[in-house]
Amino acid sequence: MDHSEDPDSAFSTLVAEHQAVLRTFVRMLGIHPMWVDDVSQEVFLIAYRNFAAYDPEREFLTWLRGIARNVVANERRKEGRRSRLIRRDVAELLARAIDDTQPSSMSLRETHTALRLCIDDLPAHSRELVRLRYEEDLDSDAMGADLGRAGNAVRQALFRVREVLRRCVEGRIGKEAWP
Amino acid sequence: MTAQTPEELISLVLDGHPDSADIARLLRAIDEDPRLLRLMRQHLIISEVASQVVAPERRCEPFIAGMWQRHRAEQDALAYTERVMSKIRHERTRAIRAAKSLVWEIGGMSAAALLLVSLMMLTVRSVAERMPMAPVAENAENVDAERVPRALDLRIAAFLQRRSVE
Repeated sequence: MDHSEDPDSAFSTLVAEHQAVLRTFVRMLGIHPMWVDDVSQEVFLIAYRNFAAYDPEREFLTWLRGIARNVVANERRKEGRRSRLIRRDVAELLARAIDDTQPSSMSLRETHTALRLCIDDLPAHSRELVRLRYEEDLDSDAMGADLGRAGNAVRQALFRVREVLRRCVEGRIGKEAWP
Repeated sequence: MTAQTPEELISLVLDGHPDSADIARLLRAIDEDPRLLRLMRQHLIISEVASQVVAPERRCEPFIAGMWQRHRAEQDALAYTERVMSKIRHERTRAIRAAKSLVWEIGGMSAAALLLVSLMMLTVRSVAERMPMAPVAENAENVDAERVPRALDLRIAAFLQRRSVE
């Protein structure tokens, strides 16, 4: 960070650079999609307030990931309806998998870039499904009601679209590069 | 909702509303085939990136703006809490000071009252010592048998003397 400029604006630059990958990492830890941005903002604000503790020799994203793991671990310890997780048991499984495989920040970034390119390449009907699901934020049953299809059929269609994207990413960065 | 294959269960977690039985089935399936966990993670990543790409409210600028807004709100909340705590601390100090002052006031008043009572007692005692007083017979044993008739005799003698003069 260049300390000669305004620290808030310098930090904003860092956030802009890392937010997309960090949000994906937070989702990988089992946070419910509705709360991913909330948890990610919390992680950045913890980093901002504790910036003096950051070792510039380490990669910034690695430091952020450490903070994210602590925030999500605290979330797993919470009880009841206030939880921001998909499900505690699923989140525990996902967090353990991250501990086991330790996906690198590099592979996360590469996957991100490849995925964005693959989404741009989707055919129109698949893009429409993606738009309804992620832009309109409709679940499979609501999409089914809109499209005149059963919720189960919509889920299968969405699964197939994601499989196309998954293979597209593998084609771009290799099967082993996936986090 | 009853999903059949592990892929359907993953879809249900990502796009639907799984119940506890669905989650239990998914966890069992992952336990039997760990590759399913990797598959679910890859689908989670794809879902998140797709959402970031197509949903305008999830783009970078609103995210950063939201983060600073939250920071300011938290700072305001901290400042507010500090102001409230400072008032509470001030009020506590004031209450303790008031209680101490009340104790001092009560103590002072008690001391003054004690002094006043002592002075009164001393005054009464000194006046009493100067006044001639008839002997008081508290019981028969303490009565001076000779003094009582003598006092009476003296008064009678004085009376008789006054009459004779007249």
